[in-house]
Amino acid sequence: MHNVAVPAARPLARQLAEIADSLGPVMAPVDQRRQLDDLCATVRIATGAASVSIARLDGDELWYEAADGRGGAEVIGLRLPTSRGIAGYVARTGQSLVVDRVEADPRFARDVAERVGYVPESLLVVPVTDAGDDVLGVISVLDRTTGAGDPLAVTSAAARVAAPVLAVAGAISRLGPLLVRAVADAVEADEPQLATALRRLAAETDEPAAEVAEFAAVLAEVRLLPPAAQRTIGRMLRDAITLATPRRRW
Amino acid sequence: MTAGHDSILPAWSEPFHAADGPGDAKYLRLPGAVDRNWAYGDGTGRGVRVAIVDSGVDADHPLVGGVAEYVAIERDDRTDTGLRLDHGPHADLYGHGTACAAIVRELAPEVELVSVRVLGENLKGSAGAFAEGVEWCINHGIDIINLSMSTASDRWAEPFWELVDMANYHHVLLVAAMNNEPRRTIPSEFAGVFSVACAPGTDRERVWSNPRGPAEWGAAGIDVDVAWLGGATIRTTGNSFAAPVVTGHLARIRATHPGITNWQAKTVLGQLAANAPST
Repeated sequence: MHNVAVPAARPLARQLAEIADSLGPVMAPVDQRRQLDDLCATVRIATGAASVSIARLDGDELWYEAADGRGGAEVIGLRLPTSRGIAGYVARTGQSLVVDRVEADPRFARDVAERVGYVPESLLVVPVTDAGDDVLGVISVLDRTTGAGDPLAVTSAAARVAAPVLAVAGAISRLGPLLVRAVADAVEADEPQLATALRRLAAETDEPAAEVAEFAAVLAEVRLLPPAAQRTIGRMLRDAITLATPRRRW
Repeated sequence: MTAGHDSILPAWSEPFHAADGPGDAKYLRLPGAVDRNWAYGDGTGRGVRVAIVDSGVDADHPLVGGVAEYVAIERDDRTDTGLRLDHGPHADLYGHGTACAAIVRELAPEVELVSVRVLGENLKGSAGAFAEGVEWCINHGIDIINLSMSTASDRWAEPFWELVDMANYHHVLLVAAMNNEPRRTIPSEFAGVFSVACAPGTDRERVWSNPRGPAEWGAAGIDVDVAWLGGATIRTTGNSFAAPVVTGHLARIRATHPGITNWQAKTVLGQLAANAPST
């Protein structure tokens, strides 16, 4: 990838950037998704629940990344605003919430219930937070029964395990679109240095995407290394790309 | 407890559920007894301004019985703080604030409820907004603040420390729920607030004192029925729903003894605690 700005590449790069904007969020390493699925299964067994899901907070939306149990397959891929609903409250406040007799709440996530074909009777939602208490996502436990331990304590412990996984998943999901956008911008501006384009993106983008752009700029600087080092790093990147695969293959 | 699953015990509530509970409340042997009649008067909380710093309050919910005043903290990038205050009527976004308001109304039916909504659209992180909400209350004649939320973030410890002291010296009673999980819980872990976790049972007339803290007070919050959105009632568990029980009791006390301070009110509430030694 060297710095030849082919005129025909411009519209193509722009299209790629637009596609990446919509594709990016559904990209994540397979291993992470499996880790989150396994965590859901563990919580489900420990709480005797019908279903457990993990959603990642992205801006003002919760993106359901992993699930286990009843309605689990249907819930994955859902994006719900945090401006309402019990999971939304937990994501916005970082406070866990336990609600039984959920059906008594007429506004309780009707859309979710209709899409997954399953209306829970009880719901326990715990925030996943980072060391600074910023919310990374939520774990939802639907219809717990008599499990192996206090369900709130079990789910809270799982949330601590999920935290680093969700943090990395968030960064990865932003990396793809940023890279492609930076390439597009660099081509358009006849900018020979991808790192420069990425740093410009970092300056224009809100946190946490800006951090990812900055990191990507560092990666772009790898080009300045000797060819052997570049080849090694290139192989590592291809391995990473292999791991990133559309959701439907999982 | 609901059939089909075990009850949940929120963090910090454990002392109230130990075999011998939190032990005896610290009891001051005064020359005369502090009884409920002297402490609570007619028990209506008449005229006491109680702020629910939360998700908003649904004034039309039959268990809420109206809201006297509204304040919503909204995001506004044009201001120094990035926030602005809206005073028009607002809705409850989630149901949580309505639940807290209805519990206070149940215990002290003639309080003036003030909804201070701190979870508006586009607010990034709630801690700054609820600090702003608490500060507004201290400066605007609120008698009792119910804060059924907390932050675990160290960076908010000092601002809330200042707010708690400010509330004390303005004789504003600040009731704060402990987090449901065993982590930092700011400002509820501070000694200057009425920190609340869940005690056994669902009887909201009983308040427990835990002299060893940091959850200094216990009240019903496990498998309790609370008001929610759309006029509904749901069953829930959380320290959030125990805090407004203490707020309701304090509203009765404050109405009967206007201007009563934090430390005076703690003494009165402690004398009436469910675990006060029998005299």
